[in-house]
Amino acid sequence: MYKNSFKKATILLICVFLLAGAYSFAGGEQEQNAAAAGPQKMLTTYCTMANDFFLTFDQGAKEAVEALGNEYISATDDRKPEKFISNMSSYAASDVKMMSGYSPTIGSVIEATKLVNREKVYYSNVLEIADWWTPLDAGPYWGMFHFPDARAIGMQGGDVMAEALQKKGKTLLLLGFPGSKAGNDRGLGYKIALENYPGMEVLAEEYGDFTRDKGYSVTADWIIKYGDEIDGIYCTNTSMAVGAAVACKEAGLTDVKIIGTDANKENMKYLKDGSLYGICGIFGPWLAGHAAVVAYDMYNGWEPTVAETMMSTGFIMLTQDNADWYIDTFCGDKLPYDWKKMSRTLNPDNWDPQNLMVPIFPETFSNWEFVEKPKGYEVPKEYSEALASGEYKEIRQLYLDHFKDHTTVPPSSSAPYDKVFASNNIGSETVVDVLTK
Amino acid sequence: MKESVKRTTALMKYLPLILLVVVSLFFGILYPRFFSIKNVLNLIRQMSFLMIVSMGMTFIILMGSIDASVGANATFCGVIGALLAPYLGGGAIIIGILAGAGVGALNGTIVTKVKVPSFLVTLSLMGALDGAALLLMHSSPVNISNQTFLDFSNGSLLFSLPNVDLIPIIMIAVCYFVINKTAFGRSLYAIGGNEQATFYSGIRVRQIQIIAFMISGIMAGVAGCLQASMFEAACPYMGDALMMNSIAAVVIGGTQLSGGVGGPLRTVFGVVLIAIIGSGMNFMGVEPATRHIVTGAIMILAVSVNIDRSKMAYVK
Amino acid sequence: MTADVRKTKKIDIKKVVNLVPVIVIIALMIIFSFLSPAFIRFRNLVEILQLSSIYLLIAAGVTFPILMGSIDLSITGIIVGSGVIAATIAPVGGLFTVFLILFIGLCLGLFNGLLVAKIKLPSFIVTLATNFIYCGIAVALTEGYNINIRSNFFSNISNGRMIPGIPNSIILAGVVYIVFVYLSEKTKTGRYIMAIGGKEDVAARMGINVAKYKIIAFALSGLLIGCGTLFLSARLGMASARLGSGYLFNTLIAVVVGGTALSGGVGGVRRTILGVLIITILENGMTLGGIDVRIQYMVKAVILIGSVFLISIPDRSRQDLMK
Repeated sequence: MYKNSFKKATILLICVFLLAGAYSFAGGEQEQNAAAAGPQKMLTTYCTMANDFFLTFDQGAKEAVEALGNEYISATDDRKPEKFISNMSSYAASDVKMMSGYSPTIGSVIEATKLVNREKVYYSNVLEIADWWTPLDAGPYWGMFHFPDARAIGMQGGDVMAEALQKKGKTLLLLGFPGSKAGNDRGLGYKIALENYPGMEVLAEEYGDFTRDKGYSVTADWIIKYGDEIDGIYCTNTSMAVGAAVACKEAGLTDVKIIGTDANKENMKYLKDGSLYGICGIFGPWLAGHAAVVAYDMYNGWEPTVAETMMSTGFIMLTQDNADWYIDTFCGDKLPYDWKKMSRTLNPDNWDPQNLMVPIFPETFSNWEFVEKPKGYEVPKEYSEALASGEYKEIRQLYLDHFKDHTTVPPSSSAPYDKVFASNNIGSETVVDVLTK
Repeated sequence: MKESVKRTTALMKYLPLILLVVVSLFFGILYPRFFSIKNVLNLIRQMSFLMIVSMGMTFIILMGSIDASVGANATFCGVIGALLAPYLGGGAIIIGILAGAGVGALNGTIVTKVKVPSFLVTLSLMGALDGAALLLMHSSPVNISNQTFLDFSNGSLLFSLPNVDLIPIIMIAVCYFVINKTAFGRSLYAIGGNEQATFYSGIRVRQIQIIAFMISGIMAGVAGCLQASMFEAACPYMGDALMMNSIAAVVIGGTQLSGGVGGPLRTVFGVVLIAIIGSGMNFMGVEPATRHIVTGAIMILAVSVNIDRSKMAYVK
Repeated sequence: MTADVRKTKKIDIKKVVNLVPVIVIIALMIIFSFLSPAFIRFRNLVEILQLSSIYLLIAAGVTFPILMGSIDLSITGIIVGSGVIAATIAPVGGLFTVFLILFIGLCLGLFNGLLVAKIKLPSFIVTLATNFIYCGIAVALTEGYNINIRSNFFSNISNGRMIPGIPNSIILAGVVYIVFVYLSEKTKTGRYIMAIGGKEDVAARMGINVAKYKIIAFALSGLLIGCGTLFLSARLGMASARLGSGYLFNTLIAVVVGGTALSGGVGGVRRTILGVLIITILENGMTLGGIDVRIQYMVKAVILIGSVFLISIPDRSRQDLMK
């Protein structure tokens, strides 16, 4: 009997699936036509809402999509690669043609970019990229990769730390979670920068999982172990920096210099009251919004050149001097960007990226410097051809010329941190491009 | 034959203690600073949340149930406390703890009245509570500036001992008293030992189960508010690690998952062992990978020396 | 006469209860089709089935220890362990990699079984601990990064389409699943595992080698989780120490919603498929329907507790208490 009713149940279920399938075959085409007019759906993917960085990331993408007159959808994956791919696949099946966002691990970028080319969805991504995998490897539907250079951010942090400690001191390094390329590379950059200062030293490094509570407990143990020896703590994100600051305050260590990465409304308070010495701002909301604009432009017929497929983007250094400017400019209800103005298709002549952008040459990309190429892999030759033909230099100049709206550049009163920085590897060696108001 | 069994049981009884001494000596010799007063206080401070939650968990596991929602419950209560702190000050802590009790009551009611196994109920509620906490805090840390609320962890009620060190000690004392000296405590053992028989013997089993879940909820609430007070903010997922660690602490201490055997003092050992190993590995700067492996190995080792097989009919 | 009436009534309830998962699935599908028309598209249904195929194998595997009254909490550990160890040894993605993933899954499960059956430790704590260990090994081998497997052969195991429109993983997983349903219902091994779950002492007195079948159950669990890992890794083209984090909760729930009791001896691999479908339809439908992730958590909790409650109705008279 038990088996009998189970059989019936199974048959019923199969019927339901078949019916649903038949319905969709019959109705599918009709819907597709209906969707072509009016606002389009645009998807932005990111890890989790329980994270300050992704909260503002979401805000940026949403503002951009709505400014373009489209319908915003977001999908989170809790840092699970399988959920990330499954989300993209589901939305591709429901005829979403423009996608952008962040992928939870670098490796999942390969399958994601293969997927968008299989499903003919326009895609643009930020921050994480698989080792030795360029947009030209995946196909034409992956338009642009945005990357505030992690190594350069870490090096900047190291320089600021050395400055703050008068080039002599013992510091600690808080990394993200194991396997976060951005976190590890920022840490690496920090250590590289400190090599220029013989008086500076890294006492210890540890993973803090990018969370405030882990940052707190790791720092509390360090304080016991090293006590007053600690002069500074460099953190690869600001949540951990706030945790470290609370731990130092409780232990009565008031003059430890703490530097974090990524600025938002919540943690700017700690910069203002002096708990943090500096924060590196990487313009998370801009990254999200610009990626969405790129997907929009591609959908409307714009094609990126070879040099534009991978772009290094700007970041700034915030200290008490320019904290107020940042709060006034970025922490209101609305972001200071004119999203429509970013679009190459809406403003073919006077588009403005509203941030510093420099093309990345893959062969000397800092992200891949210490990673061996997979067996048999060669970077597509179009990239070296573009470098040889001067396309890279042209594109760099083009984006520099079009960057006219300087609202997002720190005021000159905050020197020496009145600059936007971006890594530039198209010359013979990697340098940092600097732009002031 | 009987003698040797007795001797091994006596040895078993002290094995957690021996393990603790060995581990402490290891770190103590390696790092003389490890046993400075400063670090001992730091250790107590870091284990306080786990201690409180594990005390609550002991009640549940003694009955043979399990409460997987403690971590999420702690986060949830911490958020409620943090949100109310500007209006109620210290009163917010009480509301936070009451919220924990409410969640515990919900757990207990679903388990006893709707008759769904506690593992599933609490696992499902864990997700729901995490979601609710995120909604309440708008996915972003809720900062606390109210001084009374902050004093909950950093102030001191007694002999200038910080509350964060004092509260776990009070909790241990209370739990020890309740479990070992009251009829309620004895009936927990009875339920864990043989629930069916207890039911027919006239003890109001369901009521006791619900109360036990409420106690676990209250402990999670205290831990959550304490955490929020200490970090000066309620953060997303801040209590998550407490769930697995508290179950591990209770079991490493020697309380059996099948119920009926163990007690709160054993749990204290479990928590102290976990905290010393955790902090010691921080001192050594151990890689996260090795840390995972060591934790797993210690769990198996501790349980295999600790478990009293004579009281188990068979191992599931 | 009265006795007769009562009897038929009871049977009715049981019949209805057996249909509960199916009713839930149909109800969910109707609701989600209204929430988002795209849900019912053929391509999305295929996506749901592809997602299910991975869950199905893992959940079917875990059903074996649960039928015995034990539990396997090392799902995540075995997923990351088998994937990462195999990809470290053989990153090329040929047939050897496939074999290795399955073999390592089997070995990790076997290790669990040995600890439970030979050292006589509770499976809950053994698998909790080995989960830490397996994850630790995976993180140590990769430093947390992922290993990309860029082979078309490997990718085709999941993403290829022998039948147009249907990914291979659905068909292959279906075949594997049917084999294991047969194994659990028609063979001595399956019946013995069930018997151990019912009453272990009785099973032992009947002359069943309890320890041996316990080890077998955990090894089968490991093998099937390895099999799920294979399809997962093939789909994503990578092995990673951060791959399996969401599976523990979802698969356990799927097994129980499918009607297998955590106390053992009741249920079977066959019904696990219904639980899996409920979980994947919920995940996919709520995402497409644009429901806030935070609310998704709560909806899931309500639906799952509700289904378990409905399923347990016929057994309620037998159970005075619940632990």
